[in-house]
Amino acid sequence: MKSVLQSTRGVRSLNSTNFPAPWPFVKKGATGQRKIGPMNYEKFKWPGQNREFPELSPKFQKLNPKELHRYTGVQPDGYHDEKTGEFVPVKEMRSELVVPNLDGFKLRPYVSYRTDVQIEKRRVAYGKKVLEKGSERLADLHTVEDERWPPPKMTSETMFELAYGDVVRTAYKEGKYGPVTPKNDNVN
Amino acid sequence: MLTTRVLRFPRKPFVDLDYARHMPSAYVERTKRTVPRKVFGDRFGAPDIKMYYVHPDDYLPSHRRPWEDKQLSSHLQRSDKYFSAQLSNKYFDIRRPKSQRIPDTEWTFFPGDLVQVMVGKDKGRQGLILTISRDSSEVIVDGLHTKLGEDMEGSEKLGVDKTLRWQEQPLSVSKKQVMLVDPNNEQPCEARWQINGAGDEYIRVSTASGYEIPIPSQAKVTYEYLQPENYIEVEGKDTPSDVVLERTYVPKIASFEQEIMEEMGIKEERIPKPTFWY
Repeated sequence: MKSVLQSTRGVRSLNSTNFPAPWPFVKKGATGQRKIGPMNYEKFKWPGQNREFPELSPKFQKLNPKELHRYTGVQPDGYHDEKTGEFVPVKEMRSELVVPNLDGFKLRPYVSYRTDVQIEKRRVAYGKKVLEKGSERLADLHTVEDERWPPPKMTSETMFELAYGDVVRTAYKEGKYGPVTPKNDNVN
Repeated sequence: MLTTRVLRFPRKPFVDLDYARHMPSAYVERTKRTVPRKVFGDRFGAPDIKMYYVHPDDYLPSHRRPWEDKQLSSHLQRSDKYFSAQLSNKYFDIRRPKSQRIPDTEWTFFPGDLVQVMVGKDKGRQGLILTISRDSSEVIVDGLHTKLGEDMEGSEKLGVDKTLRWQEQPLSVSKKQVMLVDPNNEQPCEARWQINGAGDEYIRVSTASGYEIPIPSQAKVTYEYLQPENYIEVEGKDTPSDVVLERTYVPKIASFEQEIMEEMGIKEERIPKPTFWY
Protein backbone atom coordinates (compact mmCIF):
# COMPACT_ATOMS: atom_id res chain seq x y z
CA MET A 1 0.00 0.00 0.00
CA LYS A 2 1.23 3.48 -0.80
CA SER A 3 2.13 5.58 2.16
CA VAL A 4 0.25 8.56 0.70
CA LEU A 5 -3.06 6.77 0.77
CA GLN A 6 -2.63 5.30 4.23
CA SER A 7 -5.16 6.61 6.70
CA THR A 8 -3.74 8.69 9.52
CA ARG A 9 -6.83 8.16 11.65
CA GLY A 10 -6.66 4.39 11.44
CA VAL A 11 -10.05 4.30 9.70
CA ARG A 12 -10.74 2.31 6.57
CA SER A 13 -12.23 4.49 3.85
CA LEU A 14 -13.96 3.22 0.73
CA ASN A 15 -10.79 3.72 -1.32
CA SER A 16 -9.82 0.58 -3.19
CA THR A 17 -6.38 0.55 -1.56
CA ASN A 18 -8.10 -0.31 1.71
CA PHE A 19 -9.55 -3.50 0.31
CA PRO A 20 -6.50 -5.63 -0.42
CA ALA A 21 -7.04 -9.08 -1.81
CA PRO A 22 -6.50 -11.98 0.58
CA TRP A 23 -3.96 -13.57 -1.78
CA PRO A 24 -1.26 -11.89 -3.85
CA PHE A 25 -2.31 -11.05 -7.37
CA VAL A 26 0.59 -11.55 -9.70
CA LYS A 27 0.40 -9.89 -13.03
CA LYS A 28 1.66 -12.13 -15.76
CA GLY A 29 3.40 -9.53 -17.83
CA ALA A 30 4.87 -7.63 -14.92
CA THR A 31 8.59 -7.79 -14.50
CA GLY A 32 10.36 -7.68 -11.18
CA GLN A 33 7.52 -9.42 -9.38
CA ARG A 34 8.04 -12.64 -7.50
CA LYS A 35 6.11 -15.32 -9.37
CA ILE A 36 4.56 -16.97 -6.39
CA GLY A 37 1.06 -17.69 -5.29
CA PRO A 38 -1.88 -18.58 -7.45
CA MET A 39 -2.05 -16.85 -10.79
CA ASN A 40 -5.21 -14.85 -10.75
CA TYR A 41 -6.11 -13.01 -13.89
CA GLU A 42 -7.97 -10.17 -12.31
CA LYS A 43 -8.22 -8.36 -15.61
CA PHE A 44 -11.08 -10.42 -16.98
CA LYS A 45 -13.24 -9.95 -13.90
CA TRP A 46 -13.36 -6.19 -14.12
CA PRO A 47 -15.90 -4.22 -16.09
CA GLY A 48 -14.80 -2.73 -19.33
CA GLN A 49 -15.18 -2.75 -23.03
CA ASN A 50 -16.13 -6.20 -24.34
CA ARG A 51 -15.33 -7.78 -21.03
CA GLU A 52 -18.73 -8.03 -19.39
CA PHE A 53 -19.82 -11.21 -21.18
CA PRO A 54 -20.46 -14.43 -19.28
CA GLU A 55 -18.45 -17.59 -19.92
CA LEU A 56 -21.27 -19.22 -21.81
CA SER A 57 -21.65 -16.46 -24.34
CA PRO A 58 -21.97 -17.79 -27.90
CA LYS A 59 -19.20 -15.38 -28.80
CA PHE A 60 -16.68 -17.51 -26.92
CA GLN A 61 -18.15 -20.95 -27.53
CA LYS A 62 -14.84 -22.51 -28.49
CA LEU A 63 -13.24 -21.22 -25.33
CA ASN A 64 -15.96 -22.68 -23.11
CA PRO A 65 -15.10 -25.71 -21.00
CA LYS A 66 -15.82 -28.97 -22.78
CA GLU A 67 -18.22 -30.21 -20.12
CA LEU A 68 -20.46 -27.26 -20.77
CA HIS A 69 -20.63 -27.59 -24.55
CA ARG A 70 -24.16 -28.96 -24.61
CA TYR A 71 -25.24 -27.20 -21.46
CA THR A 72 -28.88 -26.18 -21.49
CA GLY A 73 -29.53 -25.48 -17.81
CA VAL A 74 -32.01 -28.37 -17.66
CA GLN A 75 -31.75 -31.27 -15.24
CA PRO A 76 -31.18 -34.59 -17.08
CA ASP A 77 -33.92 -37.23 -16.75
CA GLY A 78 -31.70 -40.17 -17.56
CA TYR A 79 -28.12 -41.08 -18.31
CA HIS A 80 -25.97 -41.92 -21.29
CA ASP A 81 -25.04 -45.59 -21.31
CA GLU A 82 -21.52 -45.89 -22.71
CA LYS A 83 -21.76 -49.64 -23.41
CA THR A 84 -24.83 -49.49 -25.63
CA GLY A 85 -24.31 -45.89 -26.62
CA GLU A 86 -27.91 -45.04 -25.89
CA PHE A 87 -29.65 -42.69 -23.58
CA VAL A 88 -31.44 -44.53 -20.77
CA PRO A 89 -34.40 -42.61 -19.34
CA VAL A 90 -34.89 -43.11 -15.61
CA LYS A 91 -38.40 -42.60 -14.27
CA GLU A 92 -37.16 -41.51 -10.86
CA MET A 93 -35.04 -38.75 -12.40
CA ARG A 94 -37.98 -37.16 -14.17
CA SER A 95 -39.26 -34.15 -12.29
CA GLU A 96 -42.78 -34.38 -11.00
CA LEU A 97 -44.90 -31.43 -9.96
CA VAL A 98 -46.85 -31.91 -6.77
CA VAL A 99 -49.66 -29.36 -6.70
CA PRO A 100 -52.22 -28.89 -3.95
CA ASN A 101 -55.91 -29.12 -4.80
CA LEU A 102 -57.26 -25.59 -4.66
CA ASP A 103 -61.00 -26.36 -4.95
CA GLY A 104 -62.94 -24.10 -2.64
CA PHE A 105 -59.84 -22.04 -1.85
CA LYS A 106 -60.95 -18.45 -1.37
CA LEU A 107 -57.67 -16.58 -1.77
CA ARG A 108 -56.89 -15.20 -5.23
CA PRO A 109 -53.60 -13.91 -6.66
CA TYR A 110 -54.38 -10.22 -6.04
CA VAL A 111 -55.76 -8.21 -3.15
CA SER A 112 -58.73 -5.93 -3.74
CA TYR A 113 -58.12 -2.19 -3.40
CA ARG A 114 -61.15 -2.07 -1.12
CA THR A 115 -59.01 -3.72 1.57
CA ASP A 116 -57.15 -0.45 2.05
CA VAL A 117 -60.45 1.31 2.70
CA GLN A 118 -61.52 -1.34 5.22
CA ILE A 119 -58.16 -1.18 7.01
CA GLU A 120 -58.30 2.62 7.15
CA LYS A 121 -61.84 2.44 8.56
CA ARG A 122 -60.74 0.02 11.29
CA ARG A 123 -57.63 2.02 12.09
CA VAL A 124 -59.59 5.24 12.49
CA ALA A 125 -62.28 3.53 14.61
CA TYR A 126 -59.66 1.96 16.88
CA GLY A 127 -57.74 5.22 17.18
CA LYS A 128 -60.93 6.99 18.24
CA LYS A 129 -61.63 4.28 20.79
CA VAL A 130 -58.15 4.67 22.24
CA LEU A 131 -58.63 8.43 22.58
CA GLU A 132 -62.06 7.89 24.13
CA LYS A 133 -60.99 5.26 26.66
CA GLY A 134 -57.60 6.75 27.39
CA SER A 135 -55.42 3.70 26.85
CA GLU A 136 -54.89 0.89 24.41
CA ARG A 137 -55.60 -1.73 27.04
CA LEU A 138 -59.04 -0.32 27.77
CA ALA A 139 -59.78 0.17 24.09
CA ASP A 140 -58.95 -3.49 23.45
CA LEU A 141 -61.62 -4.53 25.92
CA HIS A 142 -64.26 -2.48 24.10
CA THR A 143 -63.53 -3.51 20.52
CA VAL A 144 -64.06 -6.82 18.76
CA GLU A 145 -60.68 -8.47 18.37
CA ASP A 146 -61.23 -9.19 14.66
CA GLU A 147 -62.07 -5.53 14.05
CA ARG A 148 -58.87 -4.13 15.53
CA TRP A 149 -56.24 -2.48 13.38
CA PRO A 150 -53.31 -2.96 13.77
CA PRO A 151 -54.32 -6.53 14.67
CA PRO A 152 -53.24 -7.75 18.12
CA LYS A 153 -49.83 -9.36 18.24
CA MET A 154 -49.45 -12.96 19.33
CA THR A 155 -47.14 -12.69 22.32
CA SER A 156 -45.81 -15.40 24.57
CA GLU A 157 -48.08 -14.01 27.29
CA THR A 158 -51.27 -14.50 25.21
CA MET A 159 -50.09 -17.92 24.15
CA PHE A 160 -49.53 -18.94 27.77
CA GLU A 161 -52.90 -17.48 28.77
CA LEU A 162 -54.71 -19.43 26.05
CA ALA A 163 -52.98 -22.72 26.72
CA TYR A 164 -52.47 -22.82 30.47
CA GLY A 165 -54.40 -19.85 31.91
CA ASP A 166 -57.45 -21.78 33.12
CA VAL A 167 -55.42 -24.72 34.39
CA VAL A 168 -53.14 -22.51 36.45
CA ARG A 169 -56.04 -20.46 37.83
CA THR A 170 -58.10 -23.47 38.95
CA ALA A 171 -55.01 -25.11 40.45
CA TYR A 172 -54.31 -21.91 42.36
CA LYS A 173 -57.89 -21.78 43.65
CA GLU A 174 -57.70 -25.36 44.79
CA GLY A 175 -54.56 -24.49 46.73
CA LYS A 176 -52.26 -26.83 44.86
CA TYR A 177 -49.39 -24.34 44.90
CA GLY A 178 -49.31 -23.90 48.68
CA PRO A 179 -49.29 -20.55 50.47
CA VAL A 180 -47.96 -17.67 48.43
CA THR A 181 -45.94 -15.03 50.27
CA PRO A 182 -46.17 -11.56 48.76
CA LYS A 183 -42.92 -10.05 47.53
CA ASN A 184 -41.21 -7.24 49.35
CA ASP A 185 -41.82 -4.15 47.23
CA ASN A 186 -39.64 -1.26 48.28
CA VAL A 187 -40.27 0.71 45.10
CA ASN A 188 -43.71 2.29 45.66
CA MET B 1 -50.12 3.80 29.49
CA LEU B 2 -48.84 5.84 26.58
CA THR B 3 -50.49 5.18 23.27
CA THR B 4 -48.17 4.29 20.46
CA ARG B 5 -46.76 6.88 18.10
CA VAL B 6 -48.68 5.40 15.19
CA LEU B 7 -51.97 6.05 16.88
CA ARG B 8 -51.17 9.45 18.31
CA PHE B 9 -49.98 11.15 15.14
CA PRO B 10 -52.37 11.25 12.17
CA ARG B 11 -51.04 9.83 8.95
CA LYS B 12 -50.35 11.78 5.83
CA PRO B 13 -52.35 9.99 3.15
CA PHE B 14 -51.91 12.91 0.75
CA VAL B 15 -48.26 12.08 0.09
CA ASP B 16 -49.11 9.30 -2.35
CA LEU B 17 -52.17 10.74 -4.03
CA ASP B 18 -51.56 10.15 -7.71
CA TYR B 19 -53.36 8.54 -10.58
CA ALA B 20 -50.47 6.14 -11.08
CA ARG B 21 -49.89 5.35 -7.40
CA HIS B 22 -50.30 1.60 -7.94
CA MET B 23 -47.86 1.47 -10.83
CA PRO B 24 -45.08 -0.92 -9.73
CA SER B 25 -41.98 1.13 -8.97
CA ALA B 26 -39.73 -1.49 -10.59
CA TYR B 27 -41.62 -1.01 -13.86
CA VAL B 28 -41.37 2.78 -13.58
CA GLU B 29 -37.63 2.55 -13.00
CA ARG B 30 -37.30 0.26 -15.97
CA THR B 31 -39.14 2.66 -18.25
CA LYS B 32 -36.90 5.45 -16.99
CA ARG B 33 -33.96 3.12 -17.78
CA THR B 34 -32.24 4.24 -14.58
CA VAL B 35 -31.52 0.64 -13.64
CA PRO B 36 -28.13 -1.07 -13.62
CA ARG B 37 -27.26 -2.99 -16.77
CA LYS B 38 -24.77 -5.04 -14.82
CA VAL B 39 -23.61 -5.04 -11.21
CA PHE B 40 -20.05 -6.05 -10.44
CA GLY B 41 -20.18 -7.22 -6.88
CA ASP B 42 -18.15 -9.47 -4.60
CA ARG B 43 -15.36 -6.94 -4.31
CA PHE B 44 -13.90 -7.90 -0.91
CA GLY B 45 -16.29 -5.57 0.90
CA ALA B 46 -15.83 -2.58 -1.39
CA PRO B 47 -19.01 -1.07 -2.90
CA ASP B 48 -20.41 -2.61 -6.07
CA ILE B 49 -19.52 -1.19 -9.44
CA LYS B 50 -22.73 -0.56 -11.39
CA MET B 51 -23.09 -0.07 -15.11
CA TYR B 52 -26.35 1.73 -15.78
CA TYR B 53 -28.60 1.83 -18.84
CA VAL B 54 -28.98 5.54 -18.09
CA HIS B 55 -27.20 6.95 -15.07
CA PRO B 56 -29.77 8.09 -12.44
CA ASP B 57 -28.11 11.53 -12.38
CA ASP B 58 -28.67 11.77 -16.11
CA TYR B 59 -32.45 11.34 -15.87
CA LEU B 60 -34.30 14.49 -16.83
CA PRO B 61 -37.73 14.67 -15.14
CA SER B 62 -40.60 15.73 -17.37
CA HIS B 63 -44.28 16.50 -16.94
CA ARG B 64 -45.00 13.44 -19.06
CA ARG B 65 -44.96 10.07 -17.32
CA PRO B 66 -41.90 7.89 -18.06
CA TRP B 67 -44.03 5.06 -19.55
CA GLU B 68 -45.69 7.31 -22.12
CA ASP B 69 -44.72 6.59 -25.70
CA LYS B 70 -42.69 9.72 -26.39
CA GLN B 71 -40.87 9.63 -23.07
CA LEU B 72 -40.06 5.96 -23.36
CA SER B 73 -38.57 6.33 -26.83
CA SER B 74 -36.45 9.28 -25.67
CA HIS B 75 -35.18 7.21 -22.72
CA LEU B 76 -34.29 4.36 -25.06
CA GLN B 77 -32.43 6.73 -27.35
CA ARG B 78 -30.55 8.20 -24.42
CA SER B 79 -29.53 4.79 -23.12
CA ASP B 80 -28.33 3.79 -26.61
CA LYS B 81 -26.25 6.93 -26.77
CA TYR B 82 -24.81 6.28 -23.32
CA PHE B 83 -23.95 2.67 -24.15
CA SER B 84 -22.31 3.50 -27.46
CA ALA B 85 -20.25 6.18 -25.71
CA GLN B 86 -19.13 3.58 -23.17
CA LEU B 87 -18.24 1.04 -25.85
CA SER B 88 -16.25 3.48 -27.89
CA ASN B 89 -14.62 4.91 -24.77
CA LYS B 90 -15.97 8.40 -25.46
CA TYR B 91 -16.73 11.07 -22.92
CA PHE B 92 -20.43 11.24 -22.07
CA ASP B 93 -21.80 14.34 -20.40
CA ILE B 94 -24.21 13.39 -17.61
CA ARG B 95 -26.95 16.02 -17.46
CA ARG B 96 -27.43 16.26 -13.65
CA PRO B 97 -30.63 18.38 -13.57
CA LYS B 98 -30.45 21.08 -10.90
CA SER B 99 -34.16 21.32 -10.07
CA GLN B 100 -34.95 20.13 -6.57
CA ARG B 101 -37.97 17.95 -6.05
CA ILE B 102 -40.44 19.45 -3.59
CA PRO B 103 -40.81 17.04 -0.63
CA ASP B 104 -43.99 14.94 -0.72
CA THR B 105 -45.11 16.36 2.62
CA GLU B 106 -44.95 19.93 1.31
CA TRP B 107 -46.65 19.38 -2.03
CA THR B 108 -50.09 20.99 -2.09
CA PHE B 109 -51.31 20.85 -5.71
CA PHE B 110 -53.75 18.18 -6.84
CA PRO B 111 -55.80 17.52 -9.97
CA GLY B 112 -59.14 19.34 -9.79
CA ASP B 113 -57.77 22.25 -7.73
CA LEU B 114 -58.66 25.81 -8.68
CA VAL B 115 -55.43 27.68 -9.38
CA GLN B 116 -54.38 31.03 -10.76
CA VAL B 117 -51.79 31.37 -13.50
CA MET B 118 -49.17 33.97 -12.52
CA VAL B 119 -47.20 34.25 -15.77
CA GLY B 120 -47.64 34.33 -19.51
CA LYS B 121 -50.52 35.38 -21.70
CA ASP B 122 -53.09 33.98 -19.26
CA LYS B 123 -51.62 35.79 -16.27
CA GLY B 124 -54.25 36.33 -13.58
CA ARG B 125 -56.74 33.84 -15.00
CA GLN B 126 -58.01 30.96 -12.90
CA GLY B 127 -58.60 27.38 -13.94
CA LEU B 128 -58.69 23.77 -12.80
CA ILE B 129 -55.61 21.55 -12.68
CA LEU B 130 -55.71 18.70 -15.18
CA THR B 131 -52.58 16.79 -14.25
CA ILE B 132 -49.64 17.22 -11.95
CA SER B 133 -46.09 16.00 -12.18
CA ARG B 134 -44.26 15.42 -8.94
CA ASP B 135 -40.96 14.63 -10.67
CA SER B 136 -40.66 18.01 -12.35
CA SER B 137 -42.92 19.97 -9.91
CA GLU B 138 -45.18 21.11 -12.72
CA VAL B 139 -48.92 21.26 -13.26
CA ILE B 140 -51.09 21.53 -16.36
CA VAL B 141 -54.07 23.87 -16.06
CA ASP B 142 -57.15 23.15 -18.15
CA GLY B 143 -57.33 25.47 -21.15
CA LEU B 144 -54.75 27.95 -19.87
CA HIS B 145 -51.15 28.70 -20.81
CA THR B 146 -51.63 27.09 -24.21
CA LYS B 147 -49.51 26.95 -27.32
CA LEU B 148 -50.70 26.22 -30.84
CA GLY B 149 -49.14 22.90 -31.72
CA GLU B 150 -49.47 20.18 -34.27
CA ASP B 151 -51.94 17.52 -33.21
CA MET B 152 -50.08 14.62 -34.82
CA GLU B 153 -46.50 15.18 -35.84
CA GLY B 154 -45.57 14.00 -39.31
CA SER B 155 -49.18 13.71 -40.39
CA GLU B 156 -48.43 15.37 -43.74
CA LYS B 157 -46.05 12.57 -44.63
CA LEU B 158 -48.88 10.08 -44.14
CA GLY B 159 -51.13 12.11 -46.43
CA VAL B 160 -53.36 13.46 -43.67
CA ASP B 161 -54.09 17.17 -43.34
CA LYS B 162 -52.15 19.01 -40.68
CA THR B 163 -54.35 19.80 -37.69
CA LEU B 164 -53.41 22.41 -35.14
CA ARG B 165 -54.62 22.39 -31.58
CA TRP B 166 -54.14 24.51 -28.47
CA GLN B 167 -51.92 22.47 -26.20
CA GLU B 168 -51.59 23.26 -22.51
CA GLN B 169 -48.02 23.83 -21.42
CA PRO B 170 -46.73 22.83 -17.98
CA LEU B 171 -46.47 25.52 -15.32
CA SER B 172 -43.82 25.25 -12.66
CA VAL B 173 -44.87 25.18 -9.03
CA SER B 174 -41.41 25.72 -7.60
CA LYS B 175 -41.01 28.88 -9.71
CA LYS B 176 -44.48 30.02 -8.53
CA GLN B 177 -45.92 30.18 -12.02
CA VAL B 178 -49.19 28.92 -10.53
CA MET B 179 -50.72 29.49 -7.13
CA LEU B 180 -53.69 28.01 -5.34
CA VAL B 181 -56.81 30.14 -4.96
CA ASP B 182 -57.88 31.11 -1.47
CA PRO B 183 -61.58 30.15 -1.03
CA ASN B 184 -61.98 33.15 1.29
CA ASN B 185 -61.23 36.02 -1.10
CA GLU B 186 -60.47 34.16 -4.35
CA GLN B 187 -56.97 35.58 -4.41
CA PRO B 188 -53.81 33.54 -5.11
CA CYS B 189 -52.32 32.10 -1.95
CA GLU B 190 -49.89 29.55 -0.63
CA ALA B 191 -51.03 26.52 1.29
CA ARG B 192 -49.66 24.25 3.99
CA TRP B 193 -50.68 21.05 5.74
CA GLN B 194 -52.07 21.36 9.23
CA ILE B 195 -53.70 19.03 11.74
CA ASN B 196 -57.43 19.75 11.99
CA GLY B 197 -59.37 20.69 15.11
CA ALA B 198 -60.22 17.09 16.02
CA GLY B 199 -56.53 16.21 15.71
CA ASP B 200 -57.06 13.13 13.59
CA GLU B 201 -56.41 14.37 10.07
CA TYR B 202 -54.20 16.66 8.04
CA ILE B 203 -55.99 19.38 6.14
CA ARG B 204 -54.74 21.87 3.58
CA VAL B 205 -55.11 25.45 4.70
CA SER B 206 -54.31 28.75 3.06
CA THR B 207 -51.39 30.46 4.82
CA ALA B 208 -52.88 33.90 4.21
CA SER B 209 -56.37 33.44 5.68
CA GLY B 210 -56.23 30.05 7.40
CA TYR B 211 -59.24 28.81 5.43
CA GLU B 212 -59.32 25.13 4.53
CA ILE B 213 -58.84 24.25 0.88
CA PRO B 214 -60.51 20.84 0.58
CA ILE B 215 -58.84 18.19 -1.59
CA PRO B 216 -60.95 17.55 -4.71
CA SER B 217 -62.26 14.04 -5.31
CA GLN B 218 -60.46 14.03 -8.65
CA ALA B 219 -57.17 13.76 -6.73
CA LYS B 220 -58.11 10.28 -5.53
CA VAL B 221 -58.74 8.93 -9.01
CA THR B 222 -56.27 6.27 -10.12
CA TYR B 223 -55.90 3.99 -13.12
CA GLU B 224 -57.86 1.33 -11.19
CA TYR B 225 -60.74 3.26 -9.64
CA LEU B 226 -62.45 6.63 -9.34
CA GLN B 227 -62.92 6.21 -5.60
CA PRO B 228 -61.31 3.37 -3.63
CA GLU B 229 -64.69 2.46 -2.08
CA ASN B 230 -66.22 1.95 -5.51
CA TYR B 231 -63.45 -0.21 -6.92
CA ILE B 232 -64.91 -3.02 -9.01
CA GLU B 233 -63.28 -6.27 -7.98
CA VAL B 234 -62.18 -8.56 -10.79
CA GLU B 235 -63.87 -11.94 -10.55
CA GLY B 236 -61.36 -14.73 -10.03
CA LYS B 237 -58.37 -12.41 -9.68
CA ASP B 238 -59.00 -10.11 -6.72
CA THR B 239 -59.41 -11.49 -3.24
CA PRO B 240 -62.37 -9.66 -1.64
CA SER B 241 -61.48 -7.50 1.34
CA ASP B 242 -63.49 -9.52 3.88
CA VAL B 243 -61.63 -12.68 2.88
CA VAL B 244 -58.29 -10.87 3.07
CA LEU B 245 -59.00 -9.51 6.54
CA GLU B 246 -60.39 -12.75 7.93
CA ARG B 247 -58.29 -14.09 10.81
CA THR B 248 -57.81 -17.81 10.37
CA TYR B 249 -54.85 -18.41 12.65
CA VAL B 250 -55.67 -20.62 15.61
CA PRO B 251 -52.99 -20.50 18.30
CA LYS B 252 -51.92 -23.91 19.48
CA ILE B 253 -49.07 -25.15 21.67
CA ALA B 254 -47.44 -27.48 19.19
CA SER B 255 -44.30 -27.47 17.12
CA PHE B 256 -44.39 -27.58 13.34
CA GLU B 257 -43.57 -31.27 13.40
CA GLN B 258 -46.24 -32.00 15.99
CA GLU B 259 -48.88 -30.28 13.86
CA ILE B 260 -47.92 -32.33 10.83
CA MET B 261 -47.98 -35.50 12.93
CA GLU B 262 -51.45 -34.69 14.16
CA GLU B 263 -52.66 -34.01 10.62
CA MET B 264 -51.29 -37.32 9.37
CA GLY B 265 -52.53 -39.29 12.35
CA ILE B 266 -49.15 -40.22 13.76
CA LYS B 267 -49.27 -40.85 17.49
CA GLU B 268 -46.30 -40.04 19.68
CA GLU B 269 -45.96 -42.54 22.48
CA ARG B 270 -42.55 -41.62 23.79
CA ILE B 271 -42.55 -39.24 26.72
CA PRO B 272 -40.15 -36.33 26.26
CA LYS B 273 -37.68 -35.59 28.99
CA PRO B 274 -38.52 -32.49 31.02
CA THR B 275 -36.62 -29.40 29.95
CA PHE B 276 -35.69 -26.52 32.19
CA TRP B 277 -35.16 -22.88 31.30
CA TYR B 278 -33.13 -20.70 33.59
